[in-house]
Amino acid sequence: MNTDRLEVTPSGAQVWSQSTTLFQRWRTGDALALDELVRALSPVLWQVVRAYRLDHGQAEDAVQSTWLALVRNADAISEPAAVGSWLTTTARREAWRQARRARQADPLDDDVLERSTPAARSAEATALERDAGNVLWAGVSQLSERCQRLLRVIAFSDRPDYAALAADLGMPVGSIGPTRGRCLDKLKTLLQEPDKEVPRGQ
Amino acid sequence: MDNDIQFADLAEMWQSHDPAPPGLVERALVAIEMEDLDAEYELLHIVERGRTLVGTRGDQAETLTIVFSGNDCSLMMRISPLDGDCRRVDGWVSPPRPVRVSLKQQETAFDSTSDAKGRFEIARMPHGLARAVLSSLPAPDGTAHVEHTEQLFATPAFEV
Repeated sequence: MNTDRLEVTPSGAQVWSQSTTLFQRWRTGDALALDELVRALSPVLWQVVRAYRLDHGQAEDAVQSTWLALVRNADAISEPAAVGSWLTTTARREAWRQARRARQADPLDDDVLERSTPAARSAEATALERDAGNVLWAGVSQLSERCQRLLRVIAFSDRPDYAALAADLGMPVGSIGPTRGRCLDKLKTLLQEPDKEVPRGQ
Repeated sequence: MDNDIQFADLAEMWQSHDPAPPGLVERALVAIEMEDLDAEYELLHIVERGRTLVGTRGDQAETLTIVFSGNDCSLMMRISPLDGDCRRVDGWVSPPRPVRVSLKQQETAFDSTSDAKGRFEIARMPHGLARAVLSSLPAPDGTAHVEHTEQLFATPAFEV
């Protein structure tokens, strides 16, 4: 199956080039460019941090922390074109910290959650109308947590950093590419046979 | 449906099923605007947020409880509505100790000092976005801060 084409920058490539321009303008003295950068990228950062199963409050906290980190550490970004990946990497790190904090407070472990979700999800899935976006949503909802996170982070990152991703997901760097391919294959199967139960665990 | 799944379609699907909440951008902008770049502080993170209905009748008196926490400090606040567009804030600093508490809004700041049990109150402040900043009090004898004992904590922007 051809997953190579997915190597190209995912959706909204222009948001990343726009970010580079805005960051440059901000760093050369245009204070309003920072506002525009926050407006353009906050919705993208939201998607990145929500891949980590954070509730709304925690997700928002992670997005704010990411922007505060940018303001405090802007000098560390020497190459304006790197601002997009710096922000998504920082957002993932903040989300990861939040998720760890939440897990400490929450007696439910991952296994319990994993086992309790499929029924709820299929009930939800059958209730959905069958337009393309909902079919895709229903399919993605049946993927494992790990697959969902991996695909979502890649979909909203500028040149995803596989080394950092691997660390987050507890996987060897070399297995990110193949795992991504397997997640997409599984999704494809689910979309072709929406009612078939696919073994979980990937 | 064509055979290949595009990341663009996945991105669109997530954006429509789990969109960023209204106000996300504005709260981020306020947090940035109130950022004090000279201050070295530890950023506290939200751990809990909930609303409770108080009162018996449908007067929509809703109390917001919000808890922020960091490595060495946590801050709980209960925000209750007053008449007009004002709020009362009751707060607890943990571990309990006297500190200066400042709730900063864009135009003004509302200051209070916690007691030995960590409790503080701000009797009245306008509804809106704020950040909380906790700082050590000057030594009782009025001498200047001793650098390494001074601690500063700040929260992200939240709605009072």
